[in-house]
Amino acid sequence: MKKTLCIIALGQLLLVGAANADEVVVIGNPASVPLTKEQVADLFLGKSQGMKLIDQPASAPIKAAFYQQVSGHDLSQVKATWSRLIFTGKAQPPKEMADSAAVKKAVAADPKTIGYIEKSAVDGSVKVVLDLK
Amino acid sequence: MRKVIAVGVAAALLHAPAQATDLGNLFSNVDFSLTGYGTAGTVLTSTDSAVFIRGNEASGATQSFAENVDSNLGIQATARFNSWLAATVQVEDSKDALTGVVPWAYLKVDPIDNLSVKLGRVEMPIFAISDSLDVGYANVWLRPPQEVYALSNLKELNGAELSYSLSLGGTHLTLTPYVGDTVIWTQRYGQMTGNDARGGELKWDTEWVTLRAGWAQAHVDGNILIENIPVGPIPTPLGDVTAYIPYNYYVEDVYSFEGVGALVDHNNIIAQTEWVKRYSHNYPGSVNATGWYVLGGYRFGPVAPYVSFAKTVKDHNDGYTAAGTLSDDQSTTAIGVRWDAFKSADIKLQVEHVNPEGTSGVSFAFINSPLGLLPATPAGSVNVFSLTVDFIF
Repeated sequence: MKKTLCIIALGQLLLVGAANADEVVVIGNPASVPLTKEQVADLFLGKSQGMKLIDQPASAPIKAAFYQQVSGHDLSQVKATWSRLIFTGKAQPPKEMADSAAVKKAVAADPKTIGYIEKSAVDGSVKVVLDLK
Repeated sequence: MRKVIAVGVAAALLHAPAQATDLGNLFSNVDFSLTGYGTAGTVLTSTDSAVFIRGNEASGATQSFAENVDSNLGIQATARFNSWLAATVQVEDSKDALTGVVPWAYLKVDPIDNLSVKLGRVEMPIFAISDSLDVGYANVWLRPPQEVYALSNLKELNGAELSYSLSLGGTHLTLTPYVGDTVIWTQRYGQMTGNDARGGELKWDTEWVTLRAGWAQAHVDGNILIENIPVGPIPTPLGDVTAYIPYNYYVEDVYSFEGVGALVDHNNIIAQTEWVKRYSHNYPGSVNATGWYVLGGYRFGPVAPYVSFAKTVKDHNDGYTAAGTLSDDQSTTAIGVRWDAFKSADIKLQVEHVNPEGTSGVSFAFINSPLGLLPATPAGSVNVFSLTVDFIF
């Protein structure tokens, strides 16, 4: 029981840590239109399709922060959701890139693509379609 | 979820003939992925008087540990040719006879936005969680409530499934009709063909609620072994013996299934409920049954305890003997916990109190006798302890 409580406490610490990370923005190609938080959540949780999704690696703190802010789900929940979609062929999982620079490059190259990076990493090659303040 | 881009060998193999046959762009940019899931588990019960099984398994747990009840392993390969065409094949090793070696093998075409057509073999959406039933990692429970999920003997469809999704003010309405052929499998009566299988599901998703209603039917057709008829005693030089002659019986029937369900996942609260009904046109006394369950859970970070209650009752006790039935009455109270202990794996523990209410129930294997397979009636309620590790790769 004590161990369980420790784990819970640890989990909550991690969540708090993630929320304090650098501000996250959702980016698209310079030609793309703004999106709402609900639209972004639907896309990244596989509820709607039509965009190519670019993801950050699981080791990047921004990943947990993004999913928490956009959907309220932690990474294990997101993973469980996607395992259901993948193994039933309902949706194609987001493509994982190495870091924010790689995400930016992929998004800049294809108008049907969205991803997320730190606000400080935004430059002219991409457009902010949603600011997760 | 980590996408393992398929090894160069596989890519090269498909790439070379593509260029040779001049299929051009279709194969020039194929996106391969290879993913998998699995469960390793063990189950122990409080009785030796009946064998606890999941679904249509032939063997399971008693007072000796059994690993086959929940354990499985699946591997899926997907080739995505472009934005509207993809092929998926899934291979699974499971001890449940209802789950074939190839649960999924289809070509998916998305001709227009929001519409997708799957051609080939798919899992019929009979229940709220039919599609990912075998993927333990995708679900909070250790094992689906058998009072509902073991009722259906329809699973895989060889045919076509269409799925149309409509966005309604931030929510999604999805209609999924399907047609094809199937195989009906019961532990006791073996395999029968299921022709003209058809059905549909209507699902409404909001940010945190899913409501669904589904219906399915199939024409069942086949010779089944009802029982072995004893003949004798026959005098022989070695004394009198009794011979058993198999009594086969031709069955033709329309088997149908309907159900509604609600799934909630909001602010760490998990709630699920389903209500289902199984019908037979010609053999209602053996087949007709109603099942339902409720499940509630809460996420404390990576630890999610849950509790559930499930019940099934035969709808027609009209003179058919227990020996003729597909399943009988049963209720189960379960408490369990899912712990997301690792990056791509969870650990689950579940304790159940299964009450077959004096009948042969739902969760117990039929036993071999000279007369054929017969239902086994446990002596009273049975406690079941299960431990699993679910993983994806």
